[in-house]
Amino acid sequence: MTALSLEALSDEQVLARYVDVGAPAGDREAAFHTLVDRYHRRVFAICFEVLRSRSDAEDAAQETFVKLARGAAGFRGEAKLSTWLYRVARNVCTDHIRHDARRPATPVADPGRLDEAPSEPDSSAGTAEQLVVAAALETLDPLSRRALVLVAVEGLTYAEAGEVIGLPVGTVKSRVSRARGRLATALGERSRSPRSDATTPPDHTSHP
Amino acid sequence: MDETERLTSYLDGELEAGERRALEAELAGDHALRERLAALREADQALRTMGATELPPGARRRLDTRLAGVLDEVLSTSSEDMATPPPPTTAADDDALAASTVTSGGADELARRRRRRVLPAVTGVAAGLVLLAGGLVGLGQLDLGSDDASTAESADAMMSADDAAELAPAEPPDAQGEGLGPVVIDDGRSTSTAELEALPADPELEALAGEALAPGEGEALAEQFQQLLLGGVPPTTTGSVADTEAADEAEADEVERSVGSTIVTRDGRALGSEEAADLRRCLVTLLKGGEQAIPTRVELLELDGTPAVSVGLVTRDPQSGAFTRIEVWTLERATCQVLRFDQA
Repeated sequence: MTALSLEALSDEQVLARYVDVGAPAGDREAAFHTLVDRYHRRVFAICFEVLRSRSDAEDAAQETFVKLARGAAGFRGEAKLSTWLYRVARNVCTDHIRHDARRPATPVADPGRLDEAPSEPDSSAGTAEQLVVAAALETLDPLSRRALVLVAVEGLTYAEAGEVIGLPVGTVKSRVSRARGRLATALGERSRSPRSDATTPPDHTSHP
Repeated sequence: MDETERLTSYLDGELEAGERRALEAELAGDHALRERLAALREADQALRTMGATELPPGARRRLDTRLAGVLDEVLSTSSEDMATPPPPTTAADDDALAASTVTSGGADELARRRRRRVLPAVTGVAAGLVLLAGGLVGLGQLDLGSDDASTAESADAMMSADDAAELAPAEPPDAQGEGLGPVVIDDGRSTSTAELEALPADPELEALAGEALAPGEGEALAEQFQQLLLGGVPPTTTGSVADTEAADEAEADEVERSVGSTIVTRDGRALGSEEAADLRRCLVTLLKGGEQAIPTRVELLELDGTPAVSVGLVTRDPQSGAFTRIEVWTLERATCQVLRFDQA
């Protein structure tokens, strides 16, 4: 099976090739790497959205693909591979948060960190407009922001985003719609505010 | 469909022809609505400037390095190993899950009883309560050392002949304090971060942590409490199964099937099926790493307006091995994402 022909296959067909014990090991490995090609970036993005740390997200993405490599035979085809994979990623990230916080050496005195802005600079958020949008997104509640970013920025389908955040597709759709509305309001307020500054975090204390 | 949903659906081209024409007619005569649509369009445009998250430099190389050993191992696996499906579930499993019930006692009373009874319980027998279809039945002497597999059997099958002989007659719900079990609270409490910080000092948690259960005793109680909450579904994953997504799927399925069982709150009310399902989903998420933790106090509440599940655990101290650590995890109900972590 050539790389070209693998590219023409659906995710599920490529996975079937990977778990085909009758196929040459090289072909199976190529099949797996095709899946990595297709999903590494998105899995990383999902993990980054949840963990908000690029290094943690990279670790979690690696763990997700290790789980896929070992557990692919358990895929029963009842869902799309992508949604299945995103669910694995979500579970890995949740475990990561939990185990990280439970490590005695890890400072957990400030558990609010779980909802903080990314602790590492995001090199992709460079332009002034991107900073404005990023700041407006931070005014949304975490679930709405996550749903909106996954769908509108990372390109997941509503079903895939639902798998990541554990909500039915209809709920995700409503969440995203409302989040778009709130983002529009937040951006409008920022554009009207004379103190508008993308680098200034929202100050909840100044508004009774 | 509210106004925002109509407008976003319009922008996404998802309105039916009739709905679209109606909205366009409204837009023609409603300046404010047009402004709202324009703001939404601008927000969508602004979002498009964000660009998808990119992989860090070298991430793929590092992934390939990590995968190399894993793929070598997997690809050399025999066909039998590779093709082994997850263990099938049986109708008996379903029945057991549907029949099993979780009970919990009043906080103060249970705390008092734990102090007196935990140690004898874990050395031989423990008190437990199982609500069978039709009524509450006290199981005074559930064997803590029973095989894991028994949790997947029917509630009837969970009882040995000796257990069955000791069945008490059906008792009213207030008798559930006779058994050891997690305290489940659903008082509609809306709480704040400051209040959650105080939760590790909850009497229930302190009472159990104060027992300083030895590893074997703590593990047995952890298993029992988890089973009581999860309707007989052990959340732990061990061995190679822990590395497979099949296990994750099986857990999800099991939690879904266990929705039929009942969790009783400390004031004797049956938790709604949706609340119970959320609670179980988050508990499985929290405990799926397989670590031994005794879920002692579980509460459905709102944290700053967000529906959440607070889980108070008594866990093993890494130094002494005894179950003396108190942890309180607060997870968002909808996603089971961790919102807070507090410890004593």
